[in-house]
Amino acid sequence: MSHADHKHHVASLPLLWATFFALVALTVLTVVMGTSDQIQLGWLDVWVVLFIATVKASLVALIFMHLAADKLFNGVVLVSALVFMGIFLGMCLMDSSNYLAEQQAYVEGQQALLGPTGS
Amino acid sequence: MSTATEHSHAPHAHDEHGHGHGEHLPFQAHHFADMQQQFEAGKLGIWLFLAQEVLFFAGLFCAYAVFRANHPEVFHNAHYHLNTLLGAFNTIVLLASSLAVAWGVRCAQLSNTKGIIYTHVFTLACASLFLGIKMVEYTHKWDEGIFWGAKYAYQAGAAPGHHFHAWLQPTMLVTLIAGGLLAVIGLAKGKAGKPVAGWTLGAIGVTVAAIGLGIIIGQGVNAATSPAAHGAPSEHAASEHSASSDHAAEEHAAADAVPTPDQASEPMVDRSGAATDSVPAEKTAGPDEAPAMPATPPINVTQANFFSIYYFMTGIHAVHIIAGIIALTWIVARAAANHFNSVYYGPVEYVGLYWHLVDLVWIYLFPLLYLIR
Amino acid sequence: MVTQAKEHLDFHSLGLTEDRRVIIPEGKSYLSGGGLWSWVFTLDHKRIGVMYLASILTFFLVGGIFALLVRAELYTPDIDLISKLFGLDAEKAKDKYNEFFTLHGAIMVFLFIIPSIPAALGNIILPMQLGAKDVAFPRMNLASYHLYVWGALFFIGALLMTGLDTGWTFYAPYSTTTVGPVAMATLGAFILGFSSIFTGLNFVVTVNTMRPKGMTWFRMPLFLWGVYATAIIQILATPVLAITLLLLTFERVFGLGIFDPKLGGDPVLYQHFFWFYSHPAVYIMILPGMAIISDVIPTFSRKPIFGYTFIAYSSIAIALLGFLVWGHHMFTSGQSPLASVVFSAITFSVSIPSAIKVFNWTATMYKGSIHLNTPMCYALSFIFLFTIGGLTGLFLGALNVDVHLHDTYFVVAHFHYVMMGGTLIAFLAGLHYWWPKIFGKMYNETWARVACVIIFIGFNWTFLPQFVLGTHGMPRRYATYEPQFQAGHRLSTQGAFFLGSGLFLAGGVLLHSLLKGKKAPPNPWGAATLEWKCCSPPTTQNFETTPWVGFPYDYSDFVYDPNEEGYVEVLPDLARSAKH
Ligand code: HEM
Ligand SMILES: [Cu+2]
Repeated sequence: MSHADHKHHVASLPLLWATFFALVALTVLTVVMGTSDQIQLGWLDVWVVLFIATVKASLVALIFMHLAADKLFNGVVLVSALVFMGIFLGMCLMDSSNYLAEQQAYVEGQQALLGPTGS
Repeated sequence: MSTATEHSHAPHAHDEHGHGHGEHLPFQAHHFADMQQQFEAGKLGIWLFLAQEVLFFAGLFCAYAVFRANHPEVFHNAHYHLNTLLGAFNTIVLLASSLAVAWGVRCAQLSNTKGIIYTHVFTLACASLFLGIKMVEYTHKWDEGIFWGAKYAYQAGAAPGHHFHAWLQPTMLVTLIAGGLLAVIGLAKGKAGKPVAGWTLGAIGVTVAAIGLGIIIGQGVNAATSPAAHGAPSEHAASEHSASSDHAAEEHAAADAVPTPDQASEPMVDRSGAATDSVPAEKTAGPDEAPAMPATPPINVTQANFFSIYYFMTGIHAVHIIAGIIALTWIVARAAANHFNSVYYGPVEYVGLYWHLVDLVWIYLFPLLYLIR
Repeated sequence: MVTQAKEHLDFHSLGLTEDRRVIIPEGKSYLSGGGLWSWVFTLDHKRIGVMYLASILTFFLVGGIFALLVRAELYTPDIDLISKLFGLDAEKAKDKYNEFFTLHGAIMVFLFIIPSIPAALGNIILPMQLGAKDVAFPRMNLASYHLYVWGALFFIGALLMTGLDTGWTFYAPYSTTTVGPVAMATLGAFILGFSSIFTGLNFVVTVNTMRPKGMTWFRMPLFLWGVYATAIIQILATPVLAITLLLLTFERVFGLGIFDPKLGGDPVLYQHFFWFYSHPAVYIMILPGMAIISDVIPTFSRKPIFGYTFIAYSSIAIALLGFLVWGHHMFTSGQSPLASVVFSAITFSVSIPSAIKVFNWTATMYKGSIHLNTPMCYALSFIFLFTIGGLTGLFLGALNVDVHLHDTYFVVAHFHYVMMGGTLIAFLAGLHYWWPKIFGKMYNETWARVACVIIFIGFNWTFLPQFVLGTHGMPRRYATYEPQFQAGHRLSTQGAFFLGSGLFLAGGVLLHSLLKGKKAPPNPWGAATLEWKCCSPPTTQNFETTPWVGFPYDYSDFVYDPNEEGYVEVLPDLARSAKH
């Protein structure tokens, strides 16, 4: 039985291994980025760490999950799920970030009311 | 056996029972025109299922994002309770399992049944390793009183209040012995010419035993790193976050106040009162009826909330791993029964895709929970 | 199976030289044969659909009884009926009232409306419109139904335990602190969510991979477009409800602190979570309704649908835009002003695709040869009622107006116009439209039409006064009210009972047809979609051979055959059509 005339894409072994090592390397990188006292990027930190995670996720999706060689529609399904997740998170964050100041003021007000024993 | 596309047959040549037909294509369902259509349908189906999973986890990521955005200091302090090394180790375990599964699909495409079985048994081992390590992490936190929400009872420097981790030792022994035994029985069955029972039992044995292995590794890593992991929090909080150190202190104080439901007083933020506007108006015991002036300090967002999110996210993820274990075992059994080959290997691919998603979720969970600054 | 061509239609008068009628062979009905087990564990999409149909209608009855109890209580300003009926003092009776509207809402939403069109009618019709033998995953389809039953059992459990009084929205922190069986109900809804996801997933895959040769995306019946758009929402929105309810359950049972402010949780976040699902869910309810209307109107106007592509795209547009407006339910919740403004603005854009559909339906009827059969009567009533519902939605979507109208009877009237006037009426249109196909029996047209008219009148009688009540400040979810509202409430209650009688009549007519109805021809209405190209009721396999696929709204080849009491398809004479 030959698979040559078969439509399905077969991933090559070296590619799978290379992907795996890239993923491990990125994991090490992210741990270093996230824990080392030398590399501190402040507010950027979380974005860098998330960026690395996204690179890793893309590797898994494109190669391990064959999206790179698969029907476009399957990729569209995944991407649209991510887009709607983005909408969900984005709108919720947009809302909650808006009353941050009020909330802080309220907490401080309550603490002032309670007096020095407050906390 | 011919390829799928060459094979054509009358649309209603099959009987209704669905089993009697097809010397050549035993796994084609009667309502599909050909194997190709069946494969594409299955694949799209699993992708849609994964999309569903993404949105399922989206709720948790959303809760995470909103709480973290509003209370970064809580998250920062809380993450010192997590052991980064264990998290990283688990990440790599899952990545290895992902590689194995992708390899397994390749084997299936090449009609290499042995390959499918080996890669999937390896994946099962990784899955259990992950769970074993997670057990170590959970129990150690519980011992310190680090629960979720209302149950949170952590006191810095206090003696362990529970001894959940005492269960680890017996669990390890039981899983190792039982798993080993099952694996041996499986091996014997396999030798006796019963590959399906043999491989299935073997796979279950490996799965069970790997939990014990995970516990050993987890305990080892934990012992090696725990002074660093647990000594740090207070100093770190004080030194690194001088800008918000008063916040950090406040968080600790609030966290230590142990917000159990009965002690808790008033909704804290002003919008919480408004949020109840749709509750049935006739009910008199609504939370908004409480006295207007709080008698105790307002209960703020504390580490308890971080751990609510932590336990829920990792817990749901673990449930997905367990579901994956069941699916992977099913694949091993079917592969042992010689069901898969280059024409029919859909289930291997579908389960593989699911497993990769479980890995994908963890790829995000790890930095979000363990690497907070 | 060979059937003799009947010699009744005079094909010479049609300008044909030979009999070119498509004869649809009779076959063994999918309904016949097999015991109980052959139903409970069937993989046949039609049997699963029929079981769904029976189940949702049962719950419609249960939910309806609660509705009538609520309306009867509101006949007078004081809490009297419930306290007399159940022998309770006023406070306890008010709690009971809260339970009743909660059960009414939760049962109607989760057990009736959401599965009504997709899971019941869609299950039966969708594969047939595709000329297919079944949906892509028959076992998943069955699992979906079994999950529905389990979810329903949880709901019944909550009903029997009594005390569920959170409203169908389960808002935290009330739902995390009240004493009723909230966890039971939320777990039920959680399970029902997966039932709904499975249905949607199945439909997307079926439409994507199992369309017959010749049926391109833009030759699909519009019912399929609508159900497809619905399925997208079911897959992308329902999981968020699932996780929300799971979090809520854990919050109640284990004291997780995500939503309850006492534990540092965020109750507004609960509303975000809930409405991220539940606004799209209103489109889960209405899109399939619109889909039915898009099939019924052209059939009974004997005219191709006007603006096919616009209707098709507008379904997808509604599905996608529907994800961007959930905050319009939260204008007064403490949501930030910025978010409210954004959500309000986007809300207006959603109404555009809905309006496109309404215009196209009316344009389809223009100069059509309108046949006022029962399904068409319902369709007309749908257009009228849905338009009112949609337009009042725009009032509510306007931020400043909603601050006044939120949580009043205006909202109650709005959503009943869209959900009952829209979805339920469309469901009835579809039920009457496909009834002959599903059960192979014709119902009594006259009485069915009478029922339709009673329902239409009763509906407006019930809910029009509620708009007025709402604008005058009558809040929703109250058991008692100021005497000045009594006139409106009286009208509404009278209307509700009139409406109820209409529904009973419609149900009676349909049930009667099962026993005494005439046998239905394969194509009683002369529709051109594929489900009419098999016998009524269909065989288990639906089609002996994959039927010929034409444009789904081209009626030129369908001729009424008085002897069949239905339409027959006359294949175009190739020689003749060459001249065209
Ligand atoms: C033209 C499109 C629509 C617009 C602009 C719209 C707008 C709105 C707004 C702004 C509200 C919130 C009112 C408030 O609570 O203050 C609302 C409530 C509601 N709408 Fe609509 N709507 C539309 C169509 C629909 C449809 C098609 C359905 C269902 C089939 C529906 C079902 C509901 C329900 C159930 C509620 C009340 C939920 C609750 O609080 O219990 N709406 N609508
Ligand atoms: Cu809405």
